[in-house]
Amino acid sequence: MIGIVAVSHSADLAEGILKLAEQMGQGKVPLAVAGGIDDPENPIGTDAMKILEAIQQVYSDDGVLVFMDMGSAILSTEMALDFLDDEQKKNVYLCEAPIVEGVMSAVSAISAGLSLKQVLQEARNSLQPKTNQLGIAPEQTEKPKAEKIDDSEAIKASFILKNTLGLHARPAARLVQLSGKFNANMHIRNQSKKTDLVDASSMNNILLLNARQHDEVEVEVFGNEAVQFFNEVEAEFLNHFGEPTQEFNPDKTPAVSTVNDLNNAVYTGLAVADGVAIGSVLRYELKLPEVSDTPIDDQNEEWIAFRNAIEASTRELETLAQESTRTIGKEEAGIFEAHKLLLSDVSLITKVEKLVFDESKSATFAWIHALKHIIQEYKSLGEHNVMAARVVDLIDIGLRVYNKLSDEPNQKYDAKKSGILVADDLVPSDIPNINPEQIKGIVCKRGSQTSHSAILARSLGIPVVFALGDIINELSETDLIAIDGSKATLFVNPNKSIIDELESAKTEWEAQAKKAQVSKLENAVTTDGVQVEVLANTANIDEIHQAIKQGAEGVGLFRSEFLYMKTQSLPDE
Amino acid sequence: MKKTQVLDWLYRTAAFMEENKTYLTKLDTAIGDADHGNNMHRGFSNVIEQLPKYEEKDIGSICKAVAMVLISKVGGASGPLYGTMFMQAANTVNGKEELSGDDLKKFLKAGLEGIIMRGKASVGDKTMVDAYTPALAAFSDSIENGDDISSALDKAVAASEEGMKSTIPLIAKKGRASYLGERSKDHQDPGATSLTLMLTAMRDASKA
Ligand SMILES: Nc1ncnc2c1ncn2[C@@H]1O[C@H](COP(=O)(O)OP(=O)(O)OP(=O)(O)O)[C@@H](O)[C@H]1O
Ligand SMILES: [Mg+2]
Repeated sequence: MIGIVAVSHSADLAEGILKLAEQMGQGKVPLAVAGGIDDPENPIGTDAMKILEAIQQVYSDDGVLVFMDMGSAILSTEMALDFLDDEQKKNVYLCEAPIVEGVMSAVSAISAGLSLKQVLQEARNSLQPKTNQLGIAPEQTEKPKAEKIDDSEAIKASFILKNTLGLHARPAARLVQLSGKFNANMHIRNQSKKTDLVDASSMNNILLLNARQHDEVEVEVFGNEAVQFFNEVEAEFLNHFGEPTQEFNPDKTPAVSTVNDLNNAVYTGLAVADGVAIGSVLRYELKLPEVSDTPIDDQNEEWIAFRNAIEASTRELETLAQESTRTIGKEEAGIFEAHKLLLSDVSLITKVEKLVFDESKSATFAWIHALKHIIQEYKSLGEHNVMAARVVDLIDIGLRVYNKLSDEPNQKYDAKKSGILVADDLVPSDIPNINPEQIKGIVCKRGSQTSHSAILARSLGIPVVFALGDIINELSETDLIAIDGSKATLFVNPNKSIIDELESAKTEWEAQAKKAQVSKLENAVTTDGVQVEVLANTANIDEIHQAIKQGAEGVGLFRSEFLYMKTQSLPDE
Repeated sequence: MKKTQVLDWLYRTAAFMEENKTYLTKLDTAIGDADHGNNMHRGFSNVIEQLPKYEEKDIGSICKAVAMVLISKVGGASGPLYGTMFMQAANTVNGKEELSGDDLKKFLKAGLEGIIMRGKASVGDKTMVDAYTPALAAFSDSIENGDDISSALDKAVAASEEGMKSTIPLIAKKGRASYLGERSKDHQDPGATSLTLMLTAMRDASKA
């Protein structure tokens, strides 16, 4: 974990900062202070050796941030660095932020799991809330525009986007990660759409460029490690972020209606998982809740609650990312990494910060309000698949954090009813929580066969059809629907003969599934006669039953984090 | 300059700092935080307290020990500054028991470079550098002209005093005094003064 050191001429001040910070970071962030000197008569001053000890006390390769009050505090800290070895010295950063504000915002940023560069950034901006509150500086403009830079020192280049989806979440996340890795900055704009240059350390900034396939994107890289940074950025663009480059086909709605009447109509989408299901419509609603603007007692409390929620969500996403790297691959797990970055996105966080501190809004209200604001910006870029996916990501992280803040977690569908889940989009992180006993099948308006959601959905053992298009919006709770996964068909209010047909298909599928089951339950034996143990990767008890049904002999990997993701609090050991 | 004279220099410096404690602090009251006298006195009284432990060692080791004491005991900006000065200077005299004029020139030069490396001040910023820079130039010239150490130090002290006085009309650009801006004018810089005292002590030791 990143550590903090506070250096002050006064031991009392240093101790005071320590107390304030401990209250805020709940003692989790490594923090040490070096205050005053060992002279009882004149205790005011700074001591390089004390500073050195403090740095060593909190040192890890994650880095250490040092905040100093003034004058010799700086010289003595620099002196102390001379006693560290070069490897360690590289990881210690002296921050110019005012000591109290700086330490406090660093503590909360570290608790929230931000990267070192982001923590530094937060600390540097730590005077802003106070400046705003006192009405001294003009309000920052909504969209953080990149500062003007000296043209001569920047490396500039333009790239044509080749990958199908353009600068969507994954490539954007990649650029943000790179910018955290180097001591350099990048400004980026979409030349084709004539946007302003924006700072590329924010995911939202990049996504809002609305840069699609064939757009020309201009970058300017500057700073100490500009060359190294640029080389990696260039490699990413030239390698089109390791993504496919076939032509993008916007808003493809493969659903075809064969009958005009809603009754008895059949629609075709993309086959994701085989099987037959008949049932009522169970709406899955992916939207941000309405939050009332209730007065608050204490801005700091709200801010801490918000930070804690962000931190807990970040941890969840880390686990999800690790697990899905193992279970479905690094590429797909990238989406959770992208979500993690969205959680620490400066433009989002500063919006919340402003709402909490400048307008005394509750954490919950500020969070949902800030998200809706950004979603609105995305929507204003036009509704098409890629942008819709961004909005889904934002809503997903939105609800994840919201559920940590609120006493009434948002339910996306009625967990007490059974039926076929009907969704516009399905959020990948929801799928592990789906109970196949309750949910007979899944149909979605959008989605692709190769998406993360599709891969996860296949493991449920229920029929799934994606990309059914607008018909999804027409369905109501009173409709009876049926799906045939292998044919990718959806039937709305099918008549008796179709139902009969489907019932027999269903029976056949079930029989076949059972047969497959039996052969699975016979011990897996390789051709050379060696008995192989079939293990299943499971996330919850239902899935274990599911796995045993499918023939697993034991649990290979129990994704226990999904167990507690369903509850509001962290489990104890 | 023999090792005994180097030790004598340190004892004399400590004595000067004690005698001039109030004076230095008075200078620092005008444009700083009224602690320079205390700082220097605390630093050098600790130095001489520790010194007996190092007297048997070579000049380089002695100066390194002095550096460490100053770094941890002075408490103000002059701690890391004089600490770095002694540290850098020490590196040029490792293993030596006696210093030639040329050795001392390198020693003093490395010391000034140390102060500049640490504090990033230039001449005219109203700091100890304003005294040290002309003093070093005068000392080097004198040695190159074939003078002995003590007469070269006479010239160095004179130049240092002049440099120290030259800080009076200046606006401080570094350290505490720089917080005062224009108001730092018309006062002599305490650091330039303590540096001059240190060189004076060295001169006196070279003649003893
Ligand atoms: N950056 C610097 N470079 C060179 N000399 C400096 C620098 N900053 C301060 N000084 C010198 O240090 C002297 C002050 O030393 P002192 O020990 O009183 O530190 P201080 O300024 O009180 O430190 P503090 O910042 O702890 O208050 C100044 O008179 C000046 O000559
Ligand atoms: Mg002072």
